[in-house]
Amino acid sequence: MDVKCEHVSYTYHLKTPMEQRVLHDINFSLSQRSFTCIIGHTGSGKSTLMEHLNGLLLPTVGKVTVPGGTILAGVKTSVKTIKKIRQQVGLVFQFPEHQLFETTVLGDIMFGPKNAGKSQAEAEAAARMAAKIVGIDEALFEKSPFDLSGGQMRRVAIAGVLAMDPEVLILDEPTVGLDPKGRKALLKVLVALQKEGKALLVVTHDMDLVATHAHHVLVMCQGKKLLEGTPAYVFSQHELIAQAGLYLPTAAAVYTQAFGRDGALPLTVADFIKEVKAKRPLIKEEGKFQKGKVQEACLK
Amino acid sequence: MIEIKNLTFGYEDKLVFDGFDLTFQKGDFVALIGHNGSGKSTLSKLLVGLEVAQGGEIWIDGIQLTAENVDVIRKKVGIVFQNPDNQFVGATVADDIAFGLENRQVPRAEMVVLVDKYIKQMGLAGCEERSPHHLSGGQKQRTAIAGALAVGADFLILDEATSMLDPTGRREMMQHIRQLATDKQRTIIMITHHLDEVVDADRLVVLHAGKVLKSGTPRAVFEQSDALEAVGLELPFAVQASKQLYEQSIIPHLCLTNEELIQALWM
Repeated sequence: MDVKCEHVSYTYHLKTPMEQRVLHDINFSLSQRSFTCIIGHTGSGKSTLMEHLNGLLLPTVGKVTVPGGTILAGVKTSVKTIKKIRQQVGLVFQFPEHQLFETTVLGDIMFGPKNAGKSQAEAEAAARMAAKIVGIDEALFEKSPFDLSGGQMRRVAIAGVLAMDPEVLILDEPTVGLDPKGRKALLKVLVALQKEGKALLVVTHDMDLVATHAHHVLVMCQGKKLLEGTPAYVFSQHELIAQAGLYLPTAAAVYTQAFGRDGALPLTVADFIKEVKAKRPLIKEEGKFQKGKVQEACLK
Repeated sequence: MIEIKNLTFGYEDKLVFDGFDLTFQKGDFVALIGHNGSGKSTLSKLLVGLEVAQGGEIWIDGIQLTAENVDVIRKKVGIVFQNPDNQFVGATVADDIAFGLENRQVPRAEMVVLVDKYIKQMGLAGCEERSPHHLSGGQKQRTAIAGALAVGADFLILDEATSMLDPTGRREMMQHIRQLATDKQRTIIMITHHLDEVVDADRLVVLHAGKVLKSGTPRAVFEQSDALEAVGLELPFAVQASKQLYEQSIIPHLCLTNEELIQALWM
C-alpha cells in the first residue's frame, strides 16, 4: 500500500475562537500505478486533504501512511521523516509556474534534487530525465523559464517535482488555464507517469478529465468523503453528485437528459455514440416525444 | 465599429501580424478564438493601446487610435483580463466600480446611480462593501466588468475572462455575458479557447498564426470542424457527438448545443 489515510480529521486554529473543523474522519488508500481524482466544490476540503499527504498539514486526529513514513496525530514526527516524505510524495500546487524562479529552465528543474543534497552531476542527470518525461526539449534548457508558453512553464514546474523521483505525485488543478493543446500534452505526461508506476492523485474541477482518465474517484463534500469508486459508479450517483455541488461529465449529463437513467452511463463521446445507437431502434419504434415509454421499454 | 486595417505588429524576434484586417460591428457579440500564440491576446492589447502597431491603422467609432488620443479610446474600450486581481484599485467592490467614474469627474449623484445599476446588473448585490480580493473568482471578474460598464465602454473586451473559474463560476459568468449581449448596446469581444462558451455569439472569428482562419456564424464555422481541430481547438461535446451521429444518419443535422442535440435525438 502506497498511501493510506485512516480516520483523518483536521481542525484549523485548534483551541482558539476561530477553531474550524475542515476534515472529518477521512479514510482512503492509493496504490501504485493508480490514477485517482479528488473532486468537490470549492471549500469542500480537497486541498486540505492533499496537504496532509506530504506533511504540510498534520492531522488533528488519525494516521497518514505514505512512502517515506507515517504521520500520527498527537505524536511528533521527526524532521528527518518529514523530509523523507516530501522527497517521496511530490506535490504540485495550482499554477506551479508561479513558483519558477531560476534563470534557466534546467537550473529550475535541478533546484529540488540539489536542495535534497544531490551533487551537481546527479542533479543535472535527474533534471534531464524529468525534462524528457514532461516533453521539454533540450533546446529550451538554457532559456529563461519566463520566456516559455503557459503550458511549457507548467511542465517545467512539474519536471522540478519529478526530478526528486517521488513515488506519489499529487497535482492541484493541473489543467486550469491551459489551452486544449497544452491540456492534451499534460494529460499525456500524467498517463505516462502512472504507467511507469507512480501513484497519481489529481485534485480537479474538470469532470471530463475524471471521466476519461481516473481509475478511482473520491468525492469530497463539506470536509467529508461523500462517495468513492470508479468514475462510472460515482457519476451514476446523481443525487450525491448534485449534493456535492458538482456536475456530471458532459456526455453523461446529455445522455441522462435525453434518455433518463437506465443502462450504462456514457462518460465519453465514443461511449455516448455507442449508447445512442443502442437506443436508436427503440426511439424509432416508439415515435416522437414518448420519452417515458422508451425509458420503460429500455428497462425491460 | 472597430476597423483594423493592414495591421503589422511583431515582438523582437517574431512577427505576429503582417497585413491583418478585421472589422467588429457595433452591438455584436463576437468570439475571438484560437490557441495560445495565435495572436488573440496581442490583438486585444493593440486595441486598447497597450501595444503599439508598427504599421496599419485601427479605427474605433471613426477615431483613429494614435499615441495622442489613446485616452479617448480607452474611455470607449474596456478590457477585463484573465486575472482581475491585477486590476483592482478600490478597497470595496462599490469603490472599485466607482474608480473610473471618479477619474472622469462624474458628479456624485450620478455616480451612485451608475454604480448601483451595474452592481445589480452583474449580480453583485450584497457584495458592495466587501473587498474585491475576498470575492470568488467569478465575482471578481464580474466586478471588473461592472467597472468597465460603469464608465460607459461601448466596446468590452474579455480576454480569457473565464479560464481560471471553476465550472459554477464559469456558468454564472457566461449567463451574465449572454444577458449583456442581448440588448445590443455595446460590442462584446470575447477571447477564449473554450468553444462551448461561444456557440451563441453572433460571430466567431478563428485566429491562427496571426491570420483569420475562419469567420462567420458559429454554425457556419463549426460545420468546418476539421479545420478547427487541425489547429488544436477542441470542439464542444454537442458538435463532436452530433457530427458523428449525423455522418451515420442517426440525426438530421449538426448540433451546436446540448439542448439541440437532445432534441435532434428525438426527431
